[in-house]
Amino acid sequence: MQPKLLELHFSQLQTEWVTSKYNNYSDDRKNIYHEKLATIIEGLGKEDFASLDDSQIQERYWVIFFVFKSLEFLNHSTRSTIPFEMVYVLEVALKEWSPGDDYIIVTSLTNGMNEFSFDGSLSFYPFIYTYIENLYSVSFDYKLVQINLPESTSRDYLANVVLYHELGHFIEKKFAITRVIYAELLAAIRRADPAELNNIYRYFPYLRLPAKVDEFEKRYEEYNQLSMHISEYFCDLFASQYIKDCSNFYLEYVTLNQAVESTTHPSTINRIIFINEYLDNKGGFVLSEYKRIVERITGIEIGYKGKDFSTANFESLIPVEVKELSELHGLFHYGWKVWLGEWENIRQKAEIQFTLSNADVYAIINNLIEKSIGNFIVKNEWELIKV
Amino acid sequence: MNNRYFRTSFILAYLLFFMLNRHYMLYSYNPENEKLTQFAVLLDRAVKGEASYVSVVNDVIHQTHQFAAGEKTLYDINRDLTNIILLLSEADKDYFEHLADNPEKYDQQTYQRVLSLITPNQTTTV
Repeated sequence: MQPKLLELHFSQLQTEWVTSKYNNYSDDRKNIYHEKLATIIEGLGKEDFASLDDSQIQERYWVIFFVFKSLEFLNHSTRSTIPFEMVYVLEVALKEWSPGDDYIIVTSLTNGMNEFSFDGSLSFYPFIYTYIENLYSVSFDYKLVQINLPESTSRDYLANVVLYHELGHFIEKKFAITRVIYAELLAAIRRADPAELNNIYRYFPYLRLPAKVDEFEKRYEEYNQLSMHISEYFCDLFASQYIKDCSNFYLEYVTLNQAVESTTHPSTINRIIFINEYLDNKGGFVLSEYKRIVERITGIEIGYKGKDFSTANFESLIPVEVKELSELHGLFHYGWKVWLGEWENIRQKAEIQFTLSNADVYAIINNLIEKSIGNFIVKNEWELIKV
Repeated sequence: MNNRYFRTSFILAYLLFFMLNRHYMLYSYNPENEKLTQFAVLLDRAVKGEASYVSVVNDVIHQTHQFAAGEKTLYDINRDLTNIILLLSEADKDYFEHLADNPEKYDQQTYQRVLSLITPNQTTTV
């Protein structure tokens, strides 16, 4: 029975591979990764599944899962499908936190509106890599950082500021940041310092209930309410280092400024307060614990990592000439500033004779952000070739 | 017992594969369980004498020992293994605390014991 199920699973993979094997990527690292998948599939094809015992079948199950999951994202990360400019900027941020060139950001385009998420199954299951190396002598130089985003807005640079938040999920899992904050907050509750408690209750109101505290202390789970809320606050904080309060605008709208927390997310009101306190250089115990713990684990201080520039280029329909990497993040802030500002400025500066519609401004801002990033990439690549 | 455990978890894992891509799920799961399931496979291969898995298994057990004995803290244990080290340590702190400092002393009996600690932690339910 079990080998037959494994045969079924492998048949599904082989069917998928019929089309995926022709994928064409703009990034050589993905081509190398793809070739390794081919070697694994070839190895699986040579095996006699009927002769395997239970744990050997499980190993193959996870290997097939791994290849399938890789293809799910690589299929949407080809030359023609990947939101290239956005991914480029996210990789700039990623490299600040993980300087070794051992991660590749890949995307999967979803059908639903606002379906942004991070999937850690290829980055944080270290034992699958052990199986693969042992069974098929394949070792991966790169791991995939999987980010889901809606296909309909994949080139919307205003909405896509929330991808910094999704990248934050990768960072907090890579460094097990949530796990440490979880332990430290529960320890603080036991210390019962009134000032600390007041600040903890502000962001995690349910921790006023001793039974809840007991439950969280008894067993940590990555998907329990406290750990998910800690993680969401961290990701908001992570994102605001690059795009300041830009994701607040979008978040506030898509959640209808939700006043009550859910099991997965804190209330939007609290999330926005948390970020604004950070941006205004205020904040109490919880924020200072986040900062302390992140710095101790990663060696990196939480702080603004983008660079602002004063320009009216977008209003004049001209891309911004980005001179350094940190300015790439500033483009989103500038784009939001123009969107939220007076559109009449664009009409006047660009000497446009007709009234601009919201669709016109939307297209202008997105095109200009994309062009600004694209021009920087071309210039940067050209400089590298010259060297 | 192990065969039954692997058979059940294989079927559940297979169902999981189909369910994860949907907006609703037939049953609950959590990533810790998946990591534990994957580690259990390594332990089973080590119990069966597969030398190529021994060093990985020994590393996890040794780091759990260091954490349980207070030689390492939450801040300096391996970040990839943080949750699994904490889960193992919580499952039987005393056992890991008193394990040998030298991982070369871990043997099939050790792997079998750790495997038996993991099995009851599998809480996936259909």
